[in-house]
Parts: sequence; C-alpha cells; structure tokens
Amino acid sequence: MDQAAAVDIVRARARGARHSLAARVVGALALAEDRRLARAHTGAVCSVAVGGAQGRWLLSAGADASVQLFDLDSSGGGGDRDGDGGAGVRLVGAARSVPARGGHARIVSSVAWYPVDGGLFTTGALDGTVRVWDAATLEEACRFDAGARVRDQALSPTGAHALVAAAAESPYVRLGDLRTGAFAQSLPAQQAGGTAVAWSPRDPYALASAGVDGSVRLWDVRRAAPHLADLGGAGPAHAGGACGLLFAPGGQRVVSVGADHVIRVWDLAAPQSPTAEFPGAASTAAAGNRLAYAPVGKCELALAGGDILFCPRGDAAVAVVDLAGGRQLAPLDGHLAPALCAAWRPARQELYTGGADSNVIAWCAPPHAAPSAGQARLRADAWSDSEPEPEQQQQQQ
Amino acid sequence: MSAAEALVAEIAAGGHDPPDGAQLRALKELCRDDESGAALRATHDALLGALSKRRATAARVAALRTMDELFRRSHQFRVLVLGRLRELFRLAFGAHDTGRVAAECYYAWVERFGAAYQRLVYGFRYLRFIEKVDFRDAARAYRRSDPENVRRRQLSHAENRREYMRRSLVAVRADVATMRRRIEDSLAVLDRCFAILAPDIAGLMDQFSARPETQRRSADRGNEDGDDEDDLDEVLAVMAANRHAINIDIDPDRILEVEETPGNAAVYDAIRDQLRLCVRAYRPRVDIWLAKLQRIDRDIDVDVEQLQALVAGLSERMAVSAAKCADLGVDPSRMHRQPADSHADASEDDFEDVSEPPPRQPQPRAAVAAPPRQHPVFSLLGDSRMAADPTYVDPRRLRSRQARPAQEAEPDPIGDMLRETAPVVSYGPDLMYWGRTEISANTSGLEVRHRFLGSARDEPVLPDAARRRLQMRAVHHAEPERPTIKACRAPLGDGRLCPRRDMVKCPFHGRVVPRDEQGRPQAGFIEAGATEAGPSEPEPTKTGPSEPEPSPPRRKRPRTGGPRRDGKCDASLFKV
Repeated sequence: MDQAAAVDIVRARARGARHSLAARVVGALALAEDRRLARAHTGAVCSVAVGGAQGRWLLSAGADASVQLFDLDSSGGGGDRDGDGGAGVRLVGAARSVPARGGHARIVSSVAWYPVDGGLFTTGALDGTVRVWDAATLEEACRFDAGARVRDQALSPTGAHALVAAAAESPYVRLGDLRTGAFAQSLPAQQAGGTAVAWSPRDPYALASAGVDGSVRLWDVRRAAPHLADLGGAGPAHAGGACGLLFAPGGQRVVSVGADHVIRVWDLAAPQSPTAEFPGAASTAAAGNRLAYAPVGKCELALAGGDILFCPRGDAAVAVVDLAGGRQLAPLDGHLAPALCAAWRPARQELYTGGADSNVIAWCAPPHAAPSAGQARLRADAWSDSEPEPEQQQQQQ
Repeated sequence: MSAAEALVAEIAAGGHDPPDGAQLRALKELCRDDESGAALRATHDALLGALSKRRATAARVAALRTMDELFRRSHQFRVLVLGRLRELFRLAFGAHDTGRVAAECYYAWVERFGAAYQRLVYGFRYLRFIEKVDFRDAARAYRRSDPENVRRRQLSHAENRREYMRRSLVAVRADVATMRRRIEDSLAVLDRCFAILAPDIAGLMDQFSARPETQRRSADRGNEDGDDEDDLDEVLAVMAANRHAINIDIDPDRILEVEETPGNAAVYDAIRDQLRLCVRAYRPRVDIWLAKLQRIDRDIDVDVEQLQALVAGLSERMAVSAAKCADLGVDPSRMHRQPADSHADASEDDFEDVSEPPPRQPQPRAAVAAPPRQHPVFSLLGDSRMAADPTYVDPRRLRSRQARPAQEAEPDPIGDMLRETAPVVSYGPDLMYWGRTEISANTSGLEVRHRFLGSARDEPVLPDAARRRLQMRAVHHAEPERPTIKACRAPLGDGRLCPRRDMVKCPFHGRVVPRDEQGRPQAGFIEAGATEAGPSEPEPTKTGPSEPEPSPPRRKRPRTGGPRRDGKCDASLFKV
C-alpha cells in the first residue's frame, strides 16, 4: 500500500511538474512567424500526424486526395511562389508528397504513423481503402478494402500488435492485420457508422470507437462480448454525433468531442458519466447548423504533456483546455475556416493544426514566434512624412 | 463621431477610385500622429462598416482603396486587419462588385508583406484554393504596376537596347571590313570600263583648244628668232594651221552613243558581271549596313560616324555606277553566261565554260536474260529448283491442279494394285532422304572451319548413324498433365514449416494456399476474400447471433495439433 501510495505521489508530482511547464509553454503559444509549411493542399486538411524520431516528420492528408510529408527540421524548402525565404522565413518544404493520381482517389480522411518507428504510415480515405505506405519511398505497400468510406483509422501506440482499426460508414469497425494483409475482425459498432477510433496507450487490446449516433464504445478486441462499456451510460455520449476521440497517456481517461462542440473527459473506471465537461464557444450555434467538421465529420484532438488538450473548433479557432486545472485557456486563432485536426510535437513544443482553409499552421512559443530582422524591416511603418512626397506619388499614380 | 470616422465617411461618400487625395492625406496624417492607436482602430472599424453597406459599390471600393493605402503604411493597421481577416474576406470577396479590386489589393499585400505576416499567406491560400478567387488578373496588374518592377524593367530595357546596339555595331564593322575590299575592286573595275567606253573628253577639249594657242605662240616666237630649224617648224605650223580647219564640236554634256559591238563585247561583259554583283550582292548589304548604322546611337562608339560616312560613300559610288551603266545601255538581263549563283564571289568568274557533252544515244542493249523477279517475302517461290523437293508444294501449281478437274489417267492395273496395298504415309523429311546412301553435311558450299572439330574442306558426308536417324520418324506423345503438389508450408510451433504435400487440404492447417518463406499466406490468397487469423492470434472471438453481414465462418477451436476429434470435416474448408 505504502509503495503504491508513494508511487502515486511521485507520479502526481512528476505530472505536476510537467503540467506547469506545459501550461507555461502552451499559454504562450502563438502563430509561428518564422516558418511556414511550403506546399499547400488545394483542399481542406483533414488530418495531421507527427511521427518519427523526435517528431521530425509531419504528415498531412487533404481533401484534394493528396498526402504530404514534411521534414520539420529542414531549413528552407524549394522556392515558394507566394513568399520569399529571404526575409528570414523558413519554408518547411514538403519532403515528399503522394499526389492525387498516385494514391487515393478520394478525400484522405486520416493518416497515422506506425508507432514503433517512422518507417511506414497508414492512410484511410473516402474511397473505402486503408493503405499502408512505406515512408521512405512513399509507395503503397499494402491495401485493405473496407468497402465503405473510411473516416478514421488508428494503429495501437503500444506496438504490441499490428492491427489497424478502421471506422467507416458501415456498422462495423474493421480490424486489419498488417502481418497477413487481410482484415482479421469486424466489431459491430454503431449502426449508423463510425467516425473515430482510438487505441489505448496502455492496454494493447483496448479500443474506443465513436459514432455518428453519438455513442462512444469501448472494446476488448480479444473478447467475445460485444463491447466492454458504453461511455455515457444510457444516453449517447454526445448529442448529434461524436466527432473526436483521444486517450490520455495514462490509458485511464478518454477525451471525446462531439458535434455539439462539448468536450467531455471520461474516466474508464466510471464510464457512465463524464468527469469533466468543457462547453464549446458561444458562436458554435452558427457552426452547428452545417455539418460539424466537414468534409469528413471528424476532428482530431491533440494532447500536450498529458494535460493540455487542443481541440479544433468549428469557428476556426483551436480550443485549449487545461484538463488538470479544469479551465479553458485562450483559444488559438489563426485559421480562416473550421479547424479540423491538431498534432503536438513534444520534442520542440510545437503545435501543428490543419483546417478547412487548406492551411497547416505551426504554433510555437515566443522565442521562435518573434519576427526576424528581415521581417521587422518589412513590418516597419512607412508613413510619408514630408508634404511634397504625396504629390510626387500622386503624379506617379 | 470621431475625426477618423468622419473622414472615412467622407471618403466613402465621395466614392472616387482612387479616393480623393486631400482627404486621404488628412486621414493618414491623423492616423500617423495619433500615438495611442485609437485613431487607427476607429478607422479600421469605420472602414469595415463602410464595406458592409449594401448596394454602394463606389463607397465600398473607396473604402477598400483607403484600407489598401493604410495597410501599406502602418504595422498597427496591418495587425488590426489581420485580426479580423475573415470578416474582411466575407465583405470584400463575398460580393461581385468589389471582388476584382479586393483581389488586386490583397495580392499586392501578399507580395509585399507575405514574408513578414504568415497570416496573409494563409489567407491567400484559403482564398485561392477554397474560395477559388482568381488572382491571375491581380498578379498581372501587380507585375505591371509595382514601381520597383517598372523601374527595373525600364532599366533592363534600356540596358538591353544599348547592348543590342553595341553588338550590332561590332557585327557591321566586321562585315564592312570583310566586304569593303571587294566592293571597291568592283567599283574600280567598273570605272575602268567606263573610262574605256566613254573616255573623259572634257580634258580632251581643253587639250584641243589649248594646243593651237601654244602652237601660235611658238610660231610667233619662231618668227622673231629666224633660225633654220625654227623656220621649218614655223612653216609646218602655218601649214598645219591654215590647211586643216576642221571644227570639231564635241559637246561633253551630250551623251556619247556607245553601243555594244563585237569589238567591245569583252568590256560590256565585264561591266555586266560587275553590275550583277553590285546589284544583287553588294547593294543590299550596303543598304543593310546603312540602316543598322542609322539606328545606332552616336554615343555608343566614336567611329560610328566614320563608318557611316564610309558606307554612304560606297553606296553613292554604286548608285553612280549603276546610273552610268544605264546610260551606256548595259542590259544586265542579257548575259552571255548564266552564272549558277549570283551571290558568288568574284573568283567564280574565273571558271570557263564547259561545253555540254552531246546527248547520249540510247544504246541497243545486249539481250541478257533478266533475273526473274523474286517475291519480296518468299524468296524461293517460283524457283524452278523447288520442283525437285518433294516436300514443297507450289501453291500456284496446286491451285491450278485443284481447279482442273481430275484427268482421266490411262488404265494402269499394276499401279492400281500396288496402290491398293501400299501403306499411306504422309510426307515428311525422312522421305526426302529415303534410300540415300550418302548425304552431304555441308551443303552451303562454304568452307567451314571449326575450332575443335576441324575444317570441312572436302565434302563431308553424314555418318551412317546420323543418316539412319534422318530416315526415322519421331512420333511425339504428350505427357499426361501431372498436377504439381505443393507443400502446405504453414508455420509449425517449432519454427519449421509444415512439410505435408496434400492435394487439397492439409488435415492440420486447412486448405493448402500459397505461402511465403515465413509461412504467411500470399496476396493472391487474400484477394480471394477468405480470412485466416493465423497462429499468431491466440483466441479469435465469436460474433453475436444478430449479425446481418455474412462474415467468414469463425473457428471454435484454435487450429493447432491434429484434425477434428469428432471425425467430421468442415465443409467450408473444401470450398475452393
């Protein structure tokens, strides 16, 4: 008992230390002015994922059916037409990209790195396929045909098995085995179709799935029983549809967000009711009329340090929620259309969010967000001070 | 209403594009002088308000232009605009009337400030890809109008022009240097010819008129002296002067009528050649030089003037010569010789005419049997030697034979009897060599030398064994199809692969499917739709009873070890 209590205390202290650091950093997150991801998608960005050693690689999947791979540590990409690197802006060039022709035929709805190494990644698209790609050559290694539009797919972060869970518009969550290249199992999940799946980071066989009918279910993929638990007890977890799922690193808590833009935190020990609720912004009433998180209908959450949650919102802001403190911090305002996905890079404390405005925006802490010398020069005021000058300019006009 | 709002209202009400200069200047001064930034904020709000008015295109355009002007000036204003970018997009790009102006302004902002404000670029991408705003016209207008661009372009234009003129001058100078000698030689030849045909008689006239005077003077001098030699001279002079009084009126202005005679044909030919050269080759070149030199500015080089004078002189001399040729009646079209290339050098005129050989008479050819025409593909078709080959059937003869009705042959009892009892053997190569005792092996007639087998200088004869083999016929029987039986190759517990080779189904592992080295089923098997959990899955689950989708049949027990204990077999495994 004592040992367990001591371990708990140590864990809590560590968490607290991490939390304060994370909170300080996150509190100061701002739109990065010194870098910009060079190549743009020509459609909404549906999914971003950070992977590889030190989170060096960023994958972004777009509604233009392309997948782009960025090397986040590269300095200076190729010449970008709408900007010059000379003012001190680091253009993060796309290392590779899978163009629309070579890869999926439809909107790529989700992308996920293989958790063990950055050697391969999986993508799911609305053309009904889940494809496994070799990250070095960006060639397709394997393909699973789910038969219905795949909204989300995930690999277990434990790495104990190589099952890909795919949530599609069919009543089943299908598990594909990367080792055999075939679907191994189907879980009879929500009747109307699933929107998100998430694997537990502790238990290799625990899976959570969210659906259009608003229910969030927990599964043990080995067992014969239909599912372990329903989050939310009798009623649906989210009215109007559950859109996003995330497991906290401890494996004990699940965060879910729904079309009503309410963020709910559930403890798996007591799944009937949420332990915390964070209501959405006031202006979500307008956003709620249209399809939430169009075009795919799901949003991807990100966690920083286990306690700070970034939730993309339909009003083009990214909500920042301190789960431990239980309060909402100032939202990140940068997108021009509903934000759809977020990914945190812990090695450099950076956040990358993608939205329906086809941008992947990088957010970082102040030392990096300050403008460089060249940028400061461009930013300087340029009033015409003397009287004759305006006339000269008028003559030039 | 603050001063800023009032000014903005005035500008919007005025509705000029571009807005009124004085009002704009006043607004700019107001914003610049206000340290706190309140004026800028108020201006920004007022401008957005002006933009949101409906059905006031001129006011909205004026508001946009004002916003553009302030955006270029003030960092604070830029931050304000970027803070409410979505609203600006909705107001400016949402309506059609301000779309073009807004695109121009925004594109210019992105070009100038995009490196310093990333949000501008993000907004640009959003407009371009999601809202599908067309920025091509805006891009064109920006490139044309940006003052730096314009200045750069003008500079480069002037620089290019000077460079072009320099190069042109160098080229003309080189050209003149090469051609000048030839042109002057040509002109000199022409002048000499003219001198021969039409000598300068003005001098002669003077000489004629001067001569009697000198003679008279000398005659007067001679009278005074009274010498004997002078007396003779004097007498002669008087005689000459009195005796012949011929008045020769030569009017140098009157054109001499010179015509072409066989005597001066050579001169005329020379003139014609040179004239042809001048007219066809030199005149155009000189004109081109003149034109190029005229276009070059004087300040490029010092000797532009000199060169131009030189070339002009050449041109003038050629014109004068051409006029003289016309006066002399030189007809350049009538030529004794037809030159091959009028642009040829003068050295080509040294060639002499070669008389044409007499036309060849068609020789009566010796009757040579022409080789028969070969078929382009079947070279032996129609060859007479093929008639000796019994394995060859000439298609033409065959057709004619088939067309002809069967002829009545004369009765041949012995032949008929033999034919009844003879075995029917179809033609084959063995019939060709039937009964032959010696068959030559090297029928090509070439001497074949082999590295190890020796040379075939003397006619080689096929050995007996080979000859006998040639006369045999080989009958090939097809082997019955044997299905290849593959091993099961499923992974066993101890790392080996199952070595059993069953035809359809291995009793331990089910249907025999293609597997790779590790025992994993191959891709072809997967696409067939069957699913196999494989021994890595410890316990597959059983799905509920209320399952509409026909999922593959689930196993009740893991397949390790022996076959089913109850002796039955699972019928689904036999579905191939």
